[in-house]
Amino acid sequence: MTKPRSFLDPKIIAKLAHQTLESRRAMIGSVSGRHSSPMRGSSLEFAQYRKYVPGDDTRRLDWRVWGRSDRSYIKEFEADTNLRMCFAVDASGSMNYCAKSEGGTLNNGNAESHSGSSKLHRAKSIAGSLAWLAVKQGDAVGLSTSHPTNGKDIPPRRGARHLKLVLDQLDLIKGEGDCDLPARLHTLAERIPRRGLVVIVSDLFVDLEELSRSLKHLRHRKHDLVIFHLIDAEELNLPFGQPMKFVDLEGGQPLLADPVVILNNYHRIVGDYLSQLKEIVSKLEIDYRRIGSDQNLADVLSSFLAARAGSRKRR
Amino acid sequence: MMFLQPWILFGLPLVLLPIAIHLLNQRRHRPIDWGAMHFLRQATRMHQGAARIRYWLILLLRLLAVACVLFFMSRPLATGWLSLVGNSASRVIVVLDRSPSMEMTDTLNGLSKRASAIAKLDAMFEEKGNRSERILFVSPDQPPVIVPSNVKLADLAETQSTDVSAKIPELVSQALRYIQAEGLGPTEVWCCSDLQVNDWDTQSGLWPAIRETLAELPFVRLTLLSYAERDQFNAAVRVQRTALKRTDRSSELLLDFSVRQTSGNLVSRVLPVTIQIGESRVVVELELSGREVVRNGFVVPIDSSIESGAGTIELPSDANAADNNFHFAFSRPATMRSLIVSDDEKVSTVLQIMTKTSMSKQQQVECELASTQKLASLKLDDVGLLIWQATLPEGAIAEQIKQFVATGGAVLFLPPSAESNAKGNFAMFGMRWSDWSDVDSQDYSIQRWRRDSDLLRNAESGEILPVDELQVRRVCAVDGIDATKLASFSNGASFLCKAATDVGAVYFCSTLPTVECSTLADNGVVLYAMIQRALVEGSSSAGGVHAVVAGSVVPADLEAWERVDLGDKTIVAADRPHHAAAYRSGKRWLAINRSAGEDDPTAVDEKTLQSLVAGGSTRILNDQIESNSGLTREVWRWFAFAAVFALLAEAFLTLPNKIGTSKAFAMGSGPR
Repeated sequence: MTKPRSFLDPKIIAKLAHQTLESRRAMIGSVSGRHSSPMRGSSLEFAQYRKYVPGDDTRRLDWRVWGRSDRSYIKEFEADTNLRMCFAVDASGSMNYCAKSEGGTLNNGNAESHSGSSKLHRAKSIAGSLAWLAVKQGDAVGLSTSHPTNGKDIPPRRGARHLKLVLDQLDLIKGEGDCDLPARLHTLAERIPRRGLVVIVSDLFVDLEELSRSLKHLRHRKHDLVIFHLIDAEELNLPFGQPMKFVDLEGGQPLLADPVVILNNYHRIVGDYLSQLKEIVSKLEIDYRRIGSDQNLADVLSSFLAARAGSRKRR
Repeated sequence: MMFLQPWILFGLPLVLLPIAIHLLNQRRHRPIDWGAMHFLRQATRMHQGAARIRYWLILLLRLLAVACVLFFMSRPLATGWLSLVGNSASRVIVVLDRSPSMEMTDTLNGLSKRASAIAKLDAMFEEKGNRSERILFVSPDQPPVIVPSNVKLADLAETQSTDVSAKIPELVSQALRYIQAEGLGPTEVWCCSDLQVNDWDTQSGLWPAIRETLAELPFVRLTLLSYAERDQFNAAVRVQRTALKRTDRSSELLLDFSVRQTSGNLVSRVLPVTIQIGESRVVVELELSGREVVRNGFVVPIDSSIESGAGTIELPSDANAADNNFHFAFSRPATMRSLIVSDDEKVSTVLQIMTKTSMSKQQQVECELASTQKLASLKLDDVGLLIWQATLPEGAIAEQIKQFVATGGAVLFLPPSAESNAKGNFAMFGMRWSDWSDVDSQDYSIQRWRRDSDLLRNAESGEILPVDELQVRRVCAVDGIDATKLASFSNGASFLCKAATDVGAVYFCSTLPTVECSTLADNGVVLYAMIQRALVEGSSSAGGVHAVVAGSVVPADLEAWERVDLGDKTIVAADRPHHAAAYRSGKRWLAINRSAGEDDPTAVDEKTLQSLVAGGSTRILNDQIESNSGLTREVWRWFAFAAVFALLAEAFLTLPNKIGTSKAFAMGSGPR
């Protein structure tokens, strides 16, 4: 009997079942699919005319045009291809953070809130749900976990068996150690051979300069980028009223601090951080979603899919 | 600093309590697993500089608060105004200046400087619980007084006022010697004085020794409790000379007296000066302006039957009652007797002629001649002038001469004859003969001499003595530092000088009245005036009348004498030499008074004072009579205030920052 996967929420699956995952850019897949391709193909959608050159398939000559104007034109149609989707899941220690807020001060009171689960759990949930959806619509799914020791890359492939492999790997991920997401993204940019959709699920507690360089690398390889930024409201606002001992989840030295005393500085730093991040994702046209522990994942993913479905594709 | 509850200081380790709490608190911080350490570290680093200072300051204030509470509970005593220096010696030596100048009294509280110092010392000992052993030094001639723990200094007879000048160098030296001899441990030496130059004798050779001893005794701390203020009006009276004259119808007493302001600020006022002689009383208004007013030859008519007597001159009450009286004794001019000690026949002949010839027909004079060859002792009874023309004496005779001078006698020393060996003679009154030398009369002419006073003064008619006409051919120089030149040669060498003595008069003349040496004999007038005036001066105390300084040599049978002035007659017999008074025994009269230096208001300045006692642990407390503050005081209030201040400051520093000034970040507000 198959072990139930705790990070796969049936409610999320049920909500996503009727939606499709669209790419915002032309993909170069291995087989025919539902996503546009920069190549010309045999779909029903007309693309353009171009002059005949010797060697072209004469079956694609538009004879009607030739009859009317005695000129030889080739009629080209759009190509449809499948999507290569690769998840980059942050498995650093900080992803184990679990919201501690009391009494819903920061919680919006949503009954389906995932407050109480770790960021890693929610990352797995996002990656698993989207992977299921992608495989369901015939796209290839791969996985890369950003961890120096237990990181494992699964190249994008289609099929239910491959999905199982991805979900198994997701299940095995444990958050520990430092975050090496930028390095992992550089590796990923080199390994994915063709255009694909790279979905980054992380709290992005990394050096933004390095992150920016790695994202530029990915964009340079024509990949469509999505970032699910998992950061808790507590991590942004530091809502503690007494001195505390902050134990570094990534294994660093603990820090004794009085949040009340450093609050203003903390907010200033977080504000700067978010501003820089905003600049990076805007510049690189990255689909960025910030998700807190108080947000319903089903709603977040549903709105994400709906937004992508409505966006204009670029080739 | 002393503590009334010193055992509480065992709790001083409690000062470390805030540090322990601080460390414990660090362990009690609620732990939380945190991912966004990057932000936290940055924020902490930004806040670190000011925050660290604030945390240290808070910790320091907490330590201070605990320490202050402990100190305040242990009831600290401070010595003097803010003098929080340790004061834990178990022995306290008190050196007390009981001189008349210490009787300067505050008009408000009625306490003299001496009484104020004693009261404050008593209060200090009482506050300390009378635990210290107290030793009192009041006179170099008296052994130290060990004060029983249940007796106050103020109740001791030894701390009462006297008219004797305090010899502070001798007293301090005596106290330090006592410490060394007894092998005392940590000792506090309190020296209470008004810093009067007369008492402190800054030129005393004892000060270097005192400094050395203080340096050798690091555990001895010398505290000078000074009362140098002289703001209140005070005048002192003094009689310089008395002379009883009989006219055809009556008798009159001639008085030379002076009134001197000893206060710092000079004022002009008219003082009624009262002269009391027996039952009769004369009041004279004296206009006092400037530092001193001298009245010479003031005539007091007295009964013609009075042959001798004593009296008192008195000023109205002022800040210091101890210098408002001056006692004097007088008698009819008795036969003025002189004694010539000489081995030179020529000289003695001249001197005999000069002494036997009286200036007044009424005045009887007698002269006796003695030689040093057969001289075992001097017969100085009723002698007014001793003329010593021989090698300076030593031993018993020297002591006898000193006693003679101390009772008011006059001595004229002439150099030993040229044939005698002047070398090797002994010093008298700090003076010593040098060698004879032949000199050029031109170089040794006398141009300068004192014409206003003493032996070579002008005559009462204003006529000048022909001192400048003297010719000197041979000179036997006199060596000495404590001498006043009355006449000097043109090259600065002394012709006639006067040695420094409290009473009596000692003169040294550097040549002889012989043809070979000078024209003293040929001229005659100068030598005659010199001898006769010295005879008059010396005879003023002869004939049964003596004037001495309190504390000096007095007749051995003074206990039997009758006190004739109107002062306090309850003074015990043993203390009589130390108090100003007039006494009578048969036809003999004695006036005891304070020394002239007591009327000199000059005080030792602080710089000099510090140099005098440099080398040891010394401090100077400038106190005032009108000050009600004690030498020690409980200073727990300061510690209480400090504790409250520390706690308030700590509370202020631990006030939380303004919370919520920063805008909280909302989720879902990411860039789109």
